Amino acid sequence: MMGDRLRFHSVIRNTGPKPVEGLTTWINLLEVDPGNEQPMDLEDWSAHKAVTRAELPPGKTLESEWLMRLIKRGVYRVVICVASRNRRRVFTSPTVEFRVTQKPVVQSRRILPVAFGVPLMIGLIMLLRRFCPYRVSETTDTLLMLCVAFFFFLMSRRSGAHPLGG
Amino acid sequence: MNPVFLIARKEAGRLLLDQWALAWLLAFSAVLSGFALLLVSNAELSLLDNAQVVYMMAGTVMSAGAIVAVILGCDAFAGERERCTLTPLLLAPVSSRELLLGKALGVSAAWGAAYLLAMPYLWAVGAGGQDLVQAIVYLALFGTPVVLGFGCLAMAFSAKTGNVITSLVTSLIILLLAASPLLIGPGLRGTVIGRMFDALNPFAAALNTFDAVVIDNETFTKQLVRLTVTFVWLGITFAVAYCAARRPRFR
Repeated sequence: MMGDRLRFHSVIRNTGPKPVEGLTTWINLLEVDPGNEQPMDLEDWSAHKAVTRAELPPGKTLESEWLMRLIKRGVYRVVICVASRNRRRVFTSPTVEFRVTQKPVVQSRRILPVAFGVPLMIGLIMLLRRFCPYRVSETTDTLLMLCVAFFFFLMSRRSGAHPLGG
Repeated sequence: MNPVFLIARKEAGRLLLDQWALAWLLAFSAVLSGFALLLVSNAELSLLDNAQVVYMMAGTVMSAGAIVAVILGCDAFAGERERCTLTPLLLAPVSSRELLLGKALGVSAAWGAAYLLAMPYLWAVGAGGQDLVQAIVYLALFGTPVVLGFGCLAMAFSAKTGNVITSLVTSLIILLLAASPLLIGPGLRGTVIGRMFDALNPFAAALNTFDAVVIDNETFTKQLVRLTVTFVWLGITFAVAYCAARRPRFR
């Protein structure tokens, strides 16, 4: 689901007889939704995009962890690529496919009560101050604010969202 | 009662307890409501878009808070002078430091009210997304020194010029320049001058932190330089305001 994090693990082994110099490993993300196939810009998906190593001796391995945050719904494939300074060929891993499901991030049932409720509350307080004596209006201000706070609490329970978190 | 708190209570009372004082909060909430309602029309946002919305909301709150702080700061000394109440205030057994601190606390109270008012809006647009708590915490941590710094700068102009209009126009122009990162995207600020401006501008430091934390999920330690910029800004503007408030123009 959007907002979740996926962790990919890659292992690169030098099976040749010579050391590999100037090794660069990077992660690629490809969207494969029908009609919307495109490579994705990883900027917001992952802060960890490449790993470099000066030399990988024969028989040694380079293990890397790739953490990715799921930003947008769709079907994606991840592939790890490896290139070295001395060889022109780029090696790629098998692809891993995953689906990101939609998560409602902006809900009208959360926004509408706030967008109309807050100005209404301030307007009511101003009216109360206009028509009630100071001490009475002070008490009603407090009561009104408590009612509004309780209303927001109920709304947050109804919308299933924690008041301070996703 | 301590004269600092006495002055601060009077300033805060003018803003929050007077019958029509809440009109500015009503206008402030109308701005945030309009912005939030625009989002309802977009039924499907990606998580990134959602983080962008929280970032924009945080930037809007800080900008509006800075405008309020500038207006209050301009009224602090010049307004008293124009209402002919500055001379009696200076003759009262209150030091210039206490007077300045009281006025600054009044500005802080206004920023506190604006910040609290923004909470339901931030929750409404951000609760389904990512890192809402971080946005709220960083808005307090970075927004407060930026907003209060502009309040202090306006107080300095107010004390030196003794004229509300002059100090208001000057302060607003400086605020407009500082808030330019809201209008000019990072791509256009990528030049050497743009990067230097970003590095020194407290407003840009706070905005870039909101971007880095809310959108890019960066850690607090990476924001320490920017936090230093905002607190240096507050320190400098307070020092300037203190120097100006020691000999305000009262004739």
